[in-house]
Amino acid sequence: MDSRVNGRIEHWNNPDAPAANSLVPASNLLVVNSSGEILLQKRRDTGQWALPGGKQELGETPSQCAVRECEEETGILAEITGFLGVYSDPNHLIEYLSDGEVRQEYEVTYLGRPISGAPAANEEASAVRWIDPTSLDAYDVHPTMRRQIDDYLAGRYPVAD
Amino acid sequence: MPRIDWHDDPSAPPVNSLVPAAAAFVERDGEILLIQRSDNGKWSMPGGTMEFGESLTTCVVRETLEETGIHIECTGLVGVFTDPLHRVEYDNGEVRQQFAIVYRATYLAGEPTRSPESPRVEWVRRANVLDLDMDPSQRVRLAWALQHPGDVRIDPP
Repeated sequence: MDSRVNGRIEHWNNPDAPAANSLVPASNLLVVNSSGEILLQKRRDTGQWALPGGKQELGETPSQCAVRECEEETGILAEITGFLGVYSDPNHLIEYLSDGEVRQEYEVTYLGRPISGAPAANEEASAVRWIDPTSLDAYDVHPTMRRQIDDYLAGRYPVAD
Repeated sequence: MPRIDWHDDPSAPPVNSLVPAAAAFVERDGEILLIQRSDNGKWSMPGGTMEFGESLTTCVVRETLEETGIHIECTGLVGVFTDPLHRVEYDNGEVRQQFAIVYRATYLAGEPTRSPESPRVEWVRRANVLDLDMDPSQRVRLAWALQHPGDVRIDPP
């Protein structure tokens, strides 16, 4: 399944996907507020809703990466409360049209809770919302990302992919 | 491939690499599967870096077989271990930030078999594991695995 909007293509179990040429650690943060709502951002590069997250920079830990990316992409400062899992499906490739990078999925996803800030659109996200799990089906979420959210909701963690 | 471990050392070369890597904590009848590394002579769990086309658990199963001759199955997580101030320098110019996911695993088949990367492969009794000569980062991982069987260790924020 592919989705192409603006610069990023998700390839999942796609035999026609280009070969991976990049394998780098990335972190996600699944933030839950006191009402049980989950923080999602609408990515400008795919148009789909996703957990905040991104590539781990040299010199930071994966949990620092998760907190930093969350604040950059949602406006919410959060703290880590747990570990959801390691997601490393070699059949999930992320193609960046701008520079030809084809990244094989390697994500570590943490659980967190909000400390301060308010959801705010930004350069990377056209919308940021707290979403009640019962209304998730109304949002376009890539299945590889929905899997992570569903693992949390079903209590199936930590995931050791 | 000789390696140098730099710990919080201002004279360490700048880090230029951060890669997905994993190690296996394999326990069988009160003994832990360990290797003595050829690159620095120290003891460690088997493990290595992820390659294109494999998942991280596939990686750790493959690396364990290559380094020990033992077939394993991953059963859970020990935790996420990293220290940005610990840099591992290889003789090809790579300076890697220490970072690995450690899995719990069970024994399936095979006998300890040495390899070019692991001149010694042994089952070590739990009580003797931390007495071996090992890098401090390896000691942190093994101590957690031995002492916190039910808890996933999360890297410090």
